[in-house]
This record gives sequence, C-alpha cells and structure tokens, in this order.
Amino acid sequence: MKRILLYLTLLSGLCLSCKKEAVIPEKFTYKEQLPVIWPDYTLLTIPPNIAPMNFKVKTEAEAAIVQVTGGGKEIIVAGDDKNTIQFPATSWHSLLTASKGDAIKFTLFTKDKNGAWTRWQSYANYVAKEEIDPYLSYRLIEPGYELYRQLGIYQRNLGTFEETPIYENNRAYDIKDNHCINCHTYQNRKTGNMLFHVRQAHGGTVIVQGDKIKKVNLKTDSTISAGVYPAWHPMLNKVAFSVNKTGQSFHLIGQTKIEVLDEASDLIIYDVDKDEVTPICKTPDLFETFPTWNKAGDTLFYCVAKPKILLEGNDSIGWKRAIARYDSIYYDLMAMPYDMQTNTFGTPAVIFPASQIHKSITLPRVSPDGRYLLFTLGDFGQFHIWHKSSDLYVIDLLTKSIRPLSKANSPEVDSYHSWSSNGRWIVFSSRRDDGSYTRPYFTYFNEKGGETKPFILPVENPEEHILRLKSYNIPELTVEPVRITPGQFKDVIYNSEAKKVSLKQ
Amino acid sequence: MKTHPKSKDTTSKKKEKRTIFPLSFSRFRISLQLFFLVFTVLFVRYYYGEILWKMQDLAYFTSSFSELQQVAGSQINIPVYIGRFFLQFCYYPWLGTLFVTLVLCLMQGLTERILRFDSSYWWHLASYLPPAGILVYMSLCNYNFIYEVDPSDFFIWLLASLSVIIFCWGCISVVRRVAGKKRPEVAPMSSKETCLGGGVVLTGIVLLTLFARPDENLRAMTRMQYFTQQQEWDKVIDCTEGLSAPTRPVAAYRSIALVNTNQLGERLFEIPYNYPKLVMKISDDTYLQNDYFYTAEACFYSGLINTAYHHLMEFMTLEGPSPFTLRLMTKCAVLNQEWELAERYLSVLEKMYFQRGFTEKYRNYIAHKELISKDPELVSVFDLEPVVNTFEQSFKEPLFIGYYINLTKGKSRRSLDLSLAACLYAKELEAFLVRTQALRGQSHIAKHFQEAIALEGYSSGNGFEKQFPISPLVTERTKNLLMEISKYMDDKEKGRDVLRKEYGNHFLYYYIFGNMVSSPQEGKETNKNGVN
Repeated sequence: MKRILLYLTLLSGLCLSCKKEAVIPEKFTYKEQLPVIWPDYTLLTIPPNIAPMNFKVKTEAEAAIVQVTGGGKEIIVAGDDKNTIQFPATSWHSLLTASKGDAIKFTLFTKDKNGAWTRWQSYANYVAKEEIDPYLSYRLIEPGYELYRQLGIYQRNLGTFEETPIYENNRAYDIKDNHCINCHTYQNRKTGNMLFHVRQAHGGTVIVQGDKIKKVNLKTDSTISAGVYPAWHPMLNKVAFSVNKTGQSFHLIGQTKIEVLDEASDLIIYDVDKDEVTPICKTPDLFETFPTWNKAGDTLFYCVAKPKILLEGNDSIGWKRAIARYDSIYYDLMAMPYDMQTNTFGTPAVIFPASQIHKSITLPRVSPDGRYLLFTLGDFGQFHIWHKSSDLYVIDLLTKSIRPLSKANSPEVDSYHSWSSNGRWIVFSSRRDDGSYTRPYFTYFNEKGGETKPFILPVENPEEHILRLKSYNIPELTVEPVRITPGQFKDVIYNSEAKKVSLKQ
Repeated sequence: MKTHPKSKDTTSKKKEKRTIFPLSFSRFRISLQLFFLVFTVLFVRYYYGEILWKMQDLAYFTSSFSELQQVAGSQINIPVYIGRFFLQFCYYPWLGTLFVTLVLCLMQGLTERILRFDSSYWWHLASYLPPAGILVYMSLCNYNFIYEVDPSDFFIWLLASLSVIIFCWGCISVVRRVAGKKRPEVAPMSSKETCLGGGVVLTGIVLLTLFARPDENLRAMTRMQYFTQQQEWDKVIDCTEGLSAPTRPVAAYRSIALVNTNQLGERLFEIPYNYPKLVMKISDDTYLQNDYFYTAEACFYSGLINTAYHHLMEFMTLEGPSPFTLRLMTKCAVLNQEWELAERYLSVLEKMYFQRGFTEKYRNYIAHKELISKDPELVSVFDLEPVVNTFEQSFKEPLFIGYYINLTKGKSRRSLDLSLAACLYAKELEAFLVRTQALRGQSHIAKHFQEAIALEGYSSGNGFEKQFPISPLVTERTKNLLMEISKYMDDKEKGRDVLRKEYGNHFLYYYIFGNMVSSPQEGKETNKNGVN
C-alpha cells in the first residue's frame, strides 16, 4: 500500500512538474499596448456568474502569464504550450463574486525567444452587479443551404462549460426517421412552457406544459402553413405564430450566398389548452411575420411587408417575380392591441415604417421591463441572418426614439437576439468571426438603454469556436434548464401522431 | 528435403508413391504465402489504391480525440477513431495497400494456426478464405464502400476481424498448451496433392480477380479524383479509356480535365454518353443519396465558386467534414476573398496529418493575396467566374451545364468555349448557333464546334459554315456521317453500335445517339427541407 502511495505521489509530482509555473516575472519591459488575445475579452462588462473567460494569446510568444486582480483576490495563470489561458473555475467565480459592481484588472506577460519578458498594458473588465440568466439554449446546425443531417437543440450552463442536449435528431441516416428541429421558444424564459417544431419525418410542433409533452399539427385547411415563428404569450397558454410560405435562392457570386423569401405569410394564435387555432390576419396583400408580445401581453408586435412588386400588374404572385426583386421588399414594425378576455385583436398601428427609409425590420423582442423593443434592421427582406447589412437596433417605447446598438454591431451579420430575464443582458447571434458560422455574443444593456462591447460565449478551450463547424442558431436565455429529457422528447416525437388542431374563425 | 523426425513413418510411406515434384509442405506453404502476398499487394494497389485514398480523403482525423469529436461530431467513438487513424495510411495509396496487405496476410497466417487440427493440408488452403472474403466484401459494397457509410467502416471491420482471429488464435493456443497437444505436422505432398492444391489456389485467384474487382466506374472515378487533386489532367482523361458505359461523375471529371487543358471543344465526344440511370445505383434497391461529391468539383472548375461552396456545404452536412470538403471550401473562400473563413478551414485542416503543405500554401495566399494571380489552378477558376449576379434557381441542373447554356457574358474566351460545349452537350443547337457569332474572324475553331457549324451549313444549305474556318475534312466527314445515319434512323440502337467505331467522336453521332437513355430519378430521396 505504501508503495502504491509512493508511486501515486511520484506520478502526481511528475504531472505537476509538467504544468508551466505561474510566477510573475521579476524583470520585464513594459509595452504600452493592449495585448492581442482571442477571443477579444478586453474592456468588457461581464456578468458576475459567467464561466471562466479563457483566451488564447495571439502575440507570438514562448510563454504567457496572466495576472487577474479584483475584489481583493488574485489569480495568476500560465498559458499552455499554445499560450491558451485557462482559469481555474473556483478561483474565477470567487474573484468575480468579490468584484461585483467593480472592475477586474488583467495584466499579461509574454516571453520572447530570447527569454525576455514583456508586460503588456493592463486592461480592466467591469463585473456587472446583475447576473445573466444561467442557461443558454441554441440549435447547432451547419450554416447549410437546404439539407440537414445531425442536429440538435442544446443548453449550455453559462456558469460552467457544461453543454447538454435538449433533443437531438436521429444520428444514423434513415429516410423514415430523418427530421429537422427548429424554433425552440419558451414562455418568459422559463422552461415549464416551451415548444419546438419537428419537420419532415415525425413532423409536428412539440409542446411542453410542465411535465406533459404533446405533438400537434398546426396546419389547417384555411391557413397557408403550420405555425412557423412562435411567440408564447407572457401570461396565457396561447402562442402567436406566423404562417409562412417560404423559399430560398442562392446567389451565384459574392459573399452573400443565400436569399430567403416569403411568398405569403399571415398570423395565427394557438390555444394550447384547447388545441385550437384562430387566424389573426389573412391578408394576401400583406406579409405579416415575426410576432412578439409586450410585457403586459395586451399588444402583439410583428413585422409586415407590402410587397407591391409581387402584386402589381396582371401576373399572379409568383416565386420568380419575388426573387427578381428580392432587394425591394421591406418590412415595417407594427403593433396590434390584444384583448385577453375575448381573444380578439384590434386595429394595427405602424410603430416604425422602415420601408420609408428603404430598410427592413425583423425579429422584434420586447425587453422584460416592457420599455425597449430590440430588433434587427437590414437593407431589405426578412431573413437577416444571411444579410451582411443586418444590425441590432432598439426602440425606446416610451420616447419612441430609435438607435442602433453601435457598440454591439459589426460589419457582418448581427441578428437573432434574446433578453435575459432582468433585461440587463442581451444575447445575439453574429457572423462577425468569419462571415459564415454564427456564434452567440453577449452585451450588457444598462438602465439608460446603452450597450457595451460584446463578447463571445466563453468556452473551455477557445479553439472550440474554430473547430466546431456548426452555427449557433436561435440563442435563447432561460432562468432554468429544460427538465424534459431527450428520451422523453424522442418518445413523443417517434411514437405519437401529431394531433390535428381545430380551426376557430 | 526437410522433414520432422516424428513424421518419419508417414514420410517414408509417402516416398513410396511416385512423385513428379516432391514438395515439402512447408515449402508449398511459404510459396503460397509469398504468392498471396505479392498478389494481394498488386491486386489491392491496382484495383483499390485510389479507392482507399478517396476513403481517407473523406474522413477527417486528428490525433486528439476531443478535437476530432468537436470537428466531426459526437458520433465519433473509439472504433471510428481507430478506423480513421489507420485510414490515414491511405493518403499514400501504396502505404494503404501495404497496410491492408499486411492485415490480410496476418489474418491468413493466424487463421492457418487456428485451423491446424490434423495433418491435412486443406486447412492451409482454407485459411485464405477470411482475407478473400474481405476483398469480396469490398467489391460488393461498391459506391457504398465510400459514400454511404463512414469511410472508416472498412478499417473498423478489417481490424475487428483481425482482432477476433487473434483472440481465437490466443484461446486455441492456450487450450493446446493446457491439453499438451503439439501442432500436428504435415507430410510432404504428393504430386497429385501439389497439383490439386495449386489448382485450387489458381482457381481461387481467378475467382477473386473476377469477383473482388471494384466496379469499373467507381475505380475510374476515384482515380480521376486522385489525379484531379494532383492536377494531372492527362491522367484524368486517360482514366476513361476502355470504359464501356461511363457514369455521370466519370464524364464530369473528364470534362474538368478537358476544360483545364483547353480540349473541351476537341475531345468532348470521345466517350459514350449513355448513362444507365440518372442516379447511381449501389445495390438493387439503393441509390446514392446525393451527387455533391462530384458536382462540387465540377462547379468549382467551371468557375461557379458559390455553387461549389453550396454543394460542399451540403456534402459536409450529410457526410461530415473531410479533407476533401475542407480543402475545396478553403479554395472557394480564398477566391471569394473571405479570408477569415479560409483561415477557419485551414486551422481545422492543419490538425490533420499530411495537410501541412496545403495549409501553408493557402495561408500564404491570405497574407499575400497578390500570389493568387500566380496560381494557375485558381486563375483558371477565377477566369470562368460569372460576371453577373443572379440565382442558381435561374438555371437548369446540373449548374455547370445549365449556367453555360444560358451564358451571355463571361470573363474570358474560355467561358465562351465552355458555353459552346455546354450547348452542344445539351443538344441546344439554337443557343449554340447564337454564340457562334463570337467565333467569326477566328483563325481556328475547335473540332466539335466545326462539326456543329458544318452540320448547320449542310442541313440549312445557306452557306452558314462559310463564315467560319471549317476544315474540308470535317465537312466531308460530317456529310458522310449524315448519309450513314440515314440508313439507321429506324434502328438507332443498331446505328449506334455500327457507327461507334468510325464516328463515335463526332458531335453529330452524339447528337443522334448520345444520351438516348433516360429514366426517372429512381429511388432518389433527399432530406431537403427548404430553409434551415
């Protein structure tokens, strides 16, 4: 036994001796320049409950050491052989907790080939007082065109690096089982009431209410499709959906590769308890889409296009006409009063006529306090995730002022977004890293309606963001994990027929 | 002659028999094993060398298991990891061949030890059945061998079979040792036995060569893919020699080589175009689920960079990342000046063995984009890139033909040649004639274009051909062919066979007899789902 203990001690000693020593060098030269690190985690506002923000030193160096101080605590970490800095989780969280509402200072030292150390200009990240919702769910899928194969909806614990599947489709190719899943959504960022769609084999919309799961078919004879973009009412067991007839085309040249267009779209409201669908609007001359509720649940915001180019003249509405003038379709922001007692909607009003400035608005989302409405604005069309012109904007619903989130936006696509439950954090998907693969970025949104420099989702080894050849799609913050297991979802998806909903005119 | 003392009696009895070439069993065995070794090396390298290379080219691998899972997905488990590791040997077809041969020989040697129960020599012959079975299995898989399963599956099965044999051999060795049984010795073989044994072996080899050969189009296609990667265009063209019925991918790769050697107008119709099916058949009821594995390259070398990227992304979505998709996606990104995207693919690629040369070359392009204009391959693609933006949906599929049938504006003379050739291939004579306006005043026109112009001149009788430099030989040959064809208008099948030798490479022959077979896209099912 003694011998075993001796061996174990020697082995652990050997392992420890392999790890680079993290000691601040005594002699160094100072460089008044911020170090180049990836991801760029400099000069940020970060949540106090975020996972260690590990990074890679991009400056050529033989070794790297970082010193982090804040709240009377200190962490010193040496980079590995690739100069990747990975903070120990316990120390990181302890430092962040102690630094709530204050700044933490990062000082980086690098060693050159001659063994000389350089101390780079220190930088500070501000630790916000407000936490971010602890879970982020997203779909992982290739930034593909028409096909899908293995994909899933996952949830990530933002305080750790744990990623678990909510549901994954079939691993092995089988035409009888192949199905796509999309549009996961929650009621008020809680997972008790949630839904997502299943397309093709085993198709339907999977609805979760507490521990009950059901699969419904939202297509009726008098609606143009099954439910597409959902918005769960903040108080009622009702979900507003757009119904869309959608197609896509592929550009022959240029860096913008895909154009997604609607040929028609309307809105419906689905009563989850009664499995009943009521059309909100059936207007062939208007394309309504992307519904979302305000905080009180008495107003439905949505986007609408008046695609004159498709409707003018004697031609019938056709796909060819749409794609020929794809860059002349603009969506405005609308609001429609809703009577919760009678389940009826009032007269729509224009909130932001983006078409008048030849812009197009999509994906409106109201902040949890009800004051701000965040949306995506692009040059045209409605599927901004493929438009480089797409940026995040916010409307102050109190003052009606509109402004871009300039500090958060990038020259690349910045699109799908969601609020944290305290309204202080926004997550959005962005293609800024390479123009193709979306990654979740976070920005702090203060009481005055100002945002801060965004940062990418922290991962254990930053290289994961390079190696994962899938896009993070529809990032949604939740206050709790999804409790239904993938097996329970699979059971319902595979073994139950989608219940056909009834239509109420 | 060496014999074991314990088998003396038997040996002396055997000696009494009249023998023509008395042969000890060990010599017979070693000769046979050596013969099997040489035969397997040659057989695997000749028939499967490039197929193994292609399997490797479709299997992403990096030595870090966690990184492999991040890139290729959570379906990567330990057996797949091991399979893909050994598949890396196939980057060099000879190395892959030697590895497969080594495993097959080991299987034979160990099986022989397992089966050695008595003094008969038949167990020795029987020990060749497992490796032969592996080779037959390879041929039965056909396209499925590469495209419908994980490329590492073959190596997993190969190594799993070897492991089972090693396990059995280990168990039997232990049992024999415990039981105190020594390996029985085999007596020298009589001439009759030698002849019989040799006959069985020869028959086995003939059968193996007949049945374990891969589909000729599969082999041709993978060889063409291999030479395409090496940019050895003449070798790509040579691969189609002797093929009785080339498939679409084979025809596409040949056209890529012709485009890159500026021979499309001269040699397009040298091969028969009568595809048996619109989609490729794997077995009786299975068809390839996608054709992106060759349309991506065909689009790329036709200058349709975005479409190539589209097809590569679909291919990657279905089959997972691979060196093939990542390399070509890098090229697309570089040509599109999407530097960060190219850098991502290079970062993923450089984690593989054998890809360092490629990553260094292309990373250099990102840093010094002026170097792109000195790369003949990229320049050739860039020369053909469309100049007007429109949508893929505006053209017939496959796009590398459909786009060029409708081409009205291009960057280079090569675009015009491609357009003319596409019109001829699609039998769109009207569109071809419109484009011939651009050929006026040229001193030389490619052979097939001359043939089509001569045909128009002859059939319209308006002297159309006089506006172009048409060789008298071409005119004469076209007239002769027209007369010959008129004899077989009631029996095109017969005409096709009779005239093939003399006129098979003439446009008119193709126009009348080419692409005659058409059938619905049987069994073609995809999981296209609109917008993702």
